[in-house]
Amino acid sequence: MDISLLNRLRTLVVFEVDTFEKQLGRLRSLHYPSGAASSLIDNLVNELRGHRQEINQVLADFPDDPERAGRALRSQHRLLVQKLRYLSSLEDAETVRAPWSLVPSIEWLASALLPDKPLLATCTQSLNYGIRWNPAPKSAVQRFAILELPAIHKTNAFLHVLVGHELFHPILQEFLKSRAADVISRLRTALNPIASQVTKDRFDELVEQVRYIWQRALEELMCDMGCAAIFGPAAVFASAMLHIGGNLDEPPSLEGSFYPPPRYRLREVLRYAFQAPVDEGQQSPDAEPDQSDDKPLPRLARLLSDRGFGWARDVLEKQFKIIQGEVQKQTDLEQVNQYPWLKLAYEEVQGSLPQAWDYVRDKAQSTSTSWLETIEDIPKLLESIGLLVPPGEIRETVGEDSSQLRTRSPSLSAISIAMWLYRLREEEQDAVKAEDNELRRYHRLCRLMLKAFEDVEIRREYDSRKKAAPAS
Amino acid sequence: MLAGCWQHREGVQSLPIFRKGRVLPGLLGERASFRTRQGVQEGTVMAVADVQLLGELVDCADVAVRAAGQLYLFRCGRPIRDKDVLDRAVEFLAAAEAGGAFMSSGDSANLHATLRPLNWVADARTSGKRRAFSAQPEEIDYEALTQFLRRMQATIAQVSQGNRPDDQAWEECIGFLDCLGETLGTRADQHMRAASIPSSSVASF
Repeated sequence: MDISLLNRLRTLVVFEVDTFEKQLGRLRSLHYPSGAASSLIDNLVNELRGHRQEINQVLADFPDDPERAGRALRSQHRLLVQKLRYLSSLEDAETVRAPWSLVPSIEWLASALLPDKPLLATCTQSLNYGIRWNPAPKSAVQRFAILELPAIHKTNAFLHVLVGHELFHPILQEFLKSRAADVISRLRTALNPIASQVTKDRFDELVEQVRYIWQRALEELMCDMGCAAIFGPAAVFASAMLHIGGNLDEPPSLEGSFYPPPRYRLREVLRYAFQAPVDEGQQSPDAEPDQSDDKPLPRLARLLSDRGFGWARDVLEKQFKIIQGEVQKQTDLEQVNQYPWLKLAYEEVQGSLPQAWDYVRDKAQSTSTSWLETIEDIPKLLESIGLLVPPGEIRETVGEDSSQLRTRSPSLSAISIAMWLYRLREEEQDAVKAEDNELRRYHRLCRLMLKAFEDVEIRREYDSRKKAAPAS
Repeated sequence: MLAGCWQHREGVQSLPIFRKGRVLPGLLGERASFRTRQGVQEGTVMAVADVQLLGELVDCADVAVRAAGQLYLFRCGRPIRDKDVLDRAVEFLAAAEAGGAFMSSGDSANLHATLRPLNWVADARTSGKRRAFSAQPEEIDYEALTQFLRRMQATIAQVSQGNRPDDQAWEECIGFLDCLGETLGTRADQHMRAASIPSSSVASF
């Protein structure tokens, strides 16, 4: 590259570094709901110093290697452009944009599931819950995970249960890696005859593409199951609410990032996380609910019934029956089985699912985030919600003395499940009522739920400070 | 109508796919018809998930560019300044080699969780010879590619230990890393740009 062009390229890249630093300075002055943003800014500033050093080194090497100087600067330019998204993420993490009352709860859950990954919670203008993370971080910035919530649903607390799904994404690598070699091996054998019939593409690309379809499907299914392991029925209700906005049988495609069909996802969550009958002929629509106590749903149903919340048991059973009815249709499988590549990939998915469920269930249990650990709290919270009190505290008697009360915080999952059950009852009642009234009641419940999450975090903060303070 | 990917020169370009009037998700690698500005054309559908892998592409391209620079400067008598990047280059090539060995013999002993390093190395090896607009993809001799990758790793390892390989090995290795950096970098560039398009293109029909 000619020296004058190289100088122009250097100006381009140095200008970018300089502007990046100024932007970070401006972002530092904004208010954020937690310290994650400041920490990310500090680390980005450090990395920009590294970029400046690299750029200077390239220029110092230019006399010896003029040919590669341009390539090296272009590479720095690419690395910088890649980092620009952090600027928009920091904008989107500002207190006025993010669901600030929920952020501490999200960070607490993330610290349990992803102890080595600081998390920045953001709200973006796209209808998507997502997380960005680097599976093999090589710098402090790359260790950050960026969680994205849809801004249009910022106050829709019922959907935010899906954060549980996103937080599982970064912890699946170990499992996926442990299975991948066997899967690739089988795919190579299985694809060989098919490939020679219909494809003219390179065989290594074909095998990798089908492996990727397997991985994408398994990732989403494991995250769905992980979310259900933490948030129980609330995860299913929230997923269904989001999924019914699209085609439940949408086949995996490149444009759809190879998401499995939503109906398939709901089916596997019900099958594994709730051990519910999901295949045709397993349960007729009029069959009595399964009452065996070792299964999660009957256990919750019995608990609700025993504590005087028969209506909540009815809502739970009715809603699950509706979703079971949807997943017993095989229309999504017809789509998948129609194409040989998808069929092969999904056969591998089916083979991986039992161990996949064990893996995510163990993660939830080992981090004490499983909804079953605090299932007993759900009826207690329903009492508060019935009085339109935010379900952020549980009052209990101490020993035999009914006048001695103590309070404690409920789990995030118990709050979510209780709120969802209450909401679903209102939904049934509101079905024939005016839209504005229905929406007003929905907003009121969202506020109760967000307030409960906030109360839990305030209590957690108070308890930790009290514990840390020296005894007077 | 969904968009598909048309295998086109150095990268992937999104264009609408038509095949018997509808889009089929199962046609990865199949021949298909594409509507382009030049009319309907035949091509191979290629579902490369590079959009999600942009960070990985940028990092790998950077490693290749910097490793080539280190090799060249060492050849000019300068000391190795960034040994870490040479180690990372060897690590990447070892993953690609394991993929090549698997594709040629089915030996999955050292296979990583993905064949992506192999895909990218093979792309770099064949760039310029394949991906012409209507050309058939080139057959890859995976055994030969595996041997080649072993040679590249040995050369880099030699330099990393401060030894000087022979001129031919040096030329070959620097040339290959240059090509790998350029191929992956170009692909990353394509994904970092967004074309200007009307917000509602349907209205123009």
